[in-house]
Amino acid sequence: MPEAPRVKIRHLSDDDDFRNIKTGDEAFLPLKNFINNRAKSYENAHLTRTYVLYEPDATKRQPIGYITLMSTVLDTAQVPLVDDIPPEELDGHLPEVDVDYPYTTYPAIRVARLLVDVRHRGNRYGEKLIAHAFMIAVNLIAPQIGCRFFVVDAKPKSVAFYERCGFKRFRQVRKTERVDGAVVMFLDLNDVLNSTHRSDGGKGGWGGFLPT
Amino acid sequence: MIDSNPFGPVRLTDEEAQLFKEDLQKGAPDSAVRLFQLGQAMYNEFLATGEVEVEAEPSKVQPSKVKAVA
Repeated sequence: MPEAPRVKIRHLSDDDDFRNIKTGDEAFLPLKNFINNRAKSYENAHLTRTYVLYEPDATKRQPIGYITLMSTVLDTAQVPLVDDIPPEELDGHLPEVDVDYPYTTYPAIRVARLLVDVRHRGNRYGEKLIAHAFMIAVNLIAPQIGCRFFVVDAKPKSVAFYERCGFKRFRQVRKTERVDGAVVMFLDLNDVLNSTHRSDGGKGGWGGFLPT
Repeated sequence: MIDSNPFGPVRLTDEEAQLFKEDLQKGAPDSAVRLFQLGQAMYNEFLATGEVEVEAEPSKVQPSKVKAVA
C-alpha cells in the first residue's frame, strides 16, 4: 500500500481551488458546489469559517477536504432545560447546579459543511477535521463568550461517522422527515468544559483559560 | 420538527426537547472524550503556526464505505 501523503489543516485561502475535488456520490454534490461557489464569499462576509485539508507538498493548491463552521442557536421550544429538575437529580450535566436560566435558547457551534475527497477517505481525515473544530469551540469560543453544544446536520449515510465522533441524534417525535433527509445531531460540551475550564471542578465560577 | 436549514437554528418541539433533556442527563459518550484528546494534541500546533499536520490512520473500513461528509 502506498504511503499516504503529508496532510495539514489550515484556514481557507482565496487561492484554494476545489474544482477537482471528488465527492464520490451525486448526493454530495451540494458540498462541492458550496465550497466552489459560496464558501469564500461567506468567509468574507464573516458568516462562516472554513478550514481545509491540504497536501503541503503538492504543487497545486487543491485541498482534499474541508469543514465549515458557524455559530447557531439551539431552541428547545417551551422546554427550559435547567430550571425544573430537582437538585437531587442533578449529576453534573445539564440541568446544572444552581443555574437559573429560564430560557429556551442555547449557544452552539454548527458543523455546516464537511467533505473529504473520496480518493482520500479511509484515513480518518474527517475525524481530524471534527477534532480540530471541536477544539476551536472548546478552547477559543466557549471560554470567551460561552458555548454549550456542537451540532451538525448529517447526511443519513454519515450518521455512523458522527456517532463515532461522539455525536448523538436528536430524537425526533414527528413522522415528518426533513426534505433532504438530514439527521440533526448534537454533542454536549459540558463534560469537557468542566474538566478543562473550571478550576473548581464545576461547582462554582469559571476557572479561566485552558492550559496548553 | 427539526428545521431543514443547514445554516439555520436548531428548533425542537416540546416533545423533542423533553427527550433531549433526558439524553443530556446521560452525559457525553466516551467517544467525545477521545475526540478531545485527539484534538488537544493538534490544537497547540495550530495555535503556534496557523496550521496543523494530521496523520493518516488507515481504517479497516473500505474507503468506499467511509462517509466523511455533512
